Amino acid sequence: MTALYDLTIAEAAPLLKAKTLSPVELTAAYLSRIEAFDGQLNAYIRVLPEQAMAAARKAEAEIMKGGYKGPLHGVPIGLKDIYNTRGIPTTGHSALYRDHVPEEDATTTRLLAEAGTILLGKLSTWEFAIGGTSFDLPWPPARNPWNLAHDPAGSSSGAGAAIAAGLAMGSMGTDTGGSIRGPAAWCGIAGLKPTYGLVSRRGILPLSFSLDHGGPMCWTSEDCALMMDVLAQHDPLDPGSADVAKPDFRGSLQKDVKGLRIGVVRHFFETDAESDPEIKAGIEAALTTFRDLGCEVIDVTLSPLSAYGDVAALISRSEAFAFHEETLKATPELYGELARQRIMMGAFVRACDYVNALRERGRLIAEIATVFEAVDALICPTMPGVAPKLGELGNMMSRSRPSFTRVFNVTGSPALSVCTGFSAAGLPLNMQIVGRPFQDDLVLRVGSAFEKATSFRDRRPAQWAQPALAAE
Amino acid sequence: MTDNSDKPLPIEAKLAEYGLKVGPETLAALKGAVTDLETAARSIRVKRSYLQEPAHTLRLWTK
Repeated sequence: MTALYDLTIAEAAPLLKAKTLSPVELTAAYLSRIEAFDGQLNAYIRVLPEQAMAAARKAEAEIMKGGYKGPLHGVPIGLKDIYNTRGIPTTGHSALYRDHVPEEDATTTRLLAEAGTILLGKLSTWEFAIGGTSFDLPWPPARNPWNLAHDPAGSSSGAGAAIAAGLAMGSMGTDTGGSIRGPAAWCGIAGLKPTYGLVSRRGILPLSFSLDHGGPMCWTSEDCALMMDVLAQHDPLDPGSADVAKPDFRGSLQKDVKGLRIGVVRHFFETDAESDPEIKAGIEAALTTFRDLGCEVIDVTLSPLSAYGDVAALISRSEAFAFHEETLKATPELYGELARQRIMMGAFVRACDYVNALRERGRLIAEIATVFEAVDALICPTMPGVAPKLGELGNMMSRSRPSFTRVFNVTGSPALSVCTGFSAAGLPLNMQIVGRPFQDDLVLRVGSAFEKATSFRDRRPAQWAQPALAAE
Repeated sequence: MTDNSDKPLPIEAKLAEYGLKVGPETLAALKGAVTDLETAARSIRVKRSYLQEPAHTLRLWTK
């Protein structure tokens, strides 16, 4: 017997389709868990019980009439609170946007609703996806379900916490420098930053226009693939949206990974940045798993991490300041301290340095494309260590702390974080799987093959077990 | 008032010119952050061919 909240989307979908699991029952179970546990986790800024139950009843009626829409029909999800939701406040976790009620849904919000998902609520984030972990905002920061004293990472902190604790079946995060993959890593779930342009950014509060990505965060890579089958749509209203053929994400998971060439960017985590020995051990064990699956493992070399970090910092700060300049001048007191500092930095980037960062970005994109002629996927850690205690994150955006994730915002590559095991302290370890542009399906296939070859998806944070709510 | 990479203007002067008001805590953090950004900018300030264009050069055609 599996508890309802332990079901993955892939496991729940056939039950929902066969009418042996009711969307109403499932949604009620999740709302009950949110009510019971979210007071400790702070994953949600806003829970929408009436709306969720109404949507669940509608989904149930549709399915009962034979109108099953697909694997997301009747599936309860949460959205990071920078995804616009028509008629529902979208705050960016900021006092500045406390009363911001969008008149239209983000494209992704709409696509997920059309696929029949049930919106449970809006999830906490770092303020405007940059200012965190913060304690001076209108809502408290999310906590890590594996240990409440620890940080879930950001900025999609609520999305990571909600999935790990079983307070949503799927969620949407955004990622400008690692904000999907970081929380996925520290919360022990799967999180995909898709290729830039594959998932619409329309209606998501911007942080840095050319580095922002929206993407799914779920318990498994397979569930992320199911969400990507709905999310990957060309959007003429997003000027960065790519009009490309859509992969069959779910179908791709059926293909073998045998024969794939896995490149390891070893210098990233052995010389460019200090990494925790447990993280490195997790990577080495994962490489053994890939060899056992028939993959060829090859060391590869890219530019040093700092090259990507410098480009990312100059671009992201400039673009963020362009969006926030007027409100930072008019009402700086409505920002939390960290968001104010990190966005205001952009005022000090000279225009020629921003343009040269864009030129350097072109060089880095060309370089990784050359490396991808020899390999099918790249591996490196997502985060250099496990989750620190809440409030002890320090300045993770400092130049002295190179990031493994920002690399792939600069290149726009699809990048997936998966769990590679657990530390001695019981906190999740992590790995990043990266692919060629628009080969997100291959990235998810590699992630899913790894998850199925290991047992890390069988372990949930024990604290949130609630055996009374179970499915046969 | 002008700014250049060899002799940047003090942060306080730039803030005043840009109309940005900050408290002491923000100012102290900004100084460290701006030093980081200046280092980042210096690291990519290399001689480049005019053929090396920005990554997001405008594309107006459609398929």
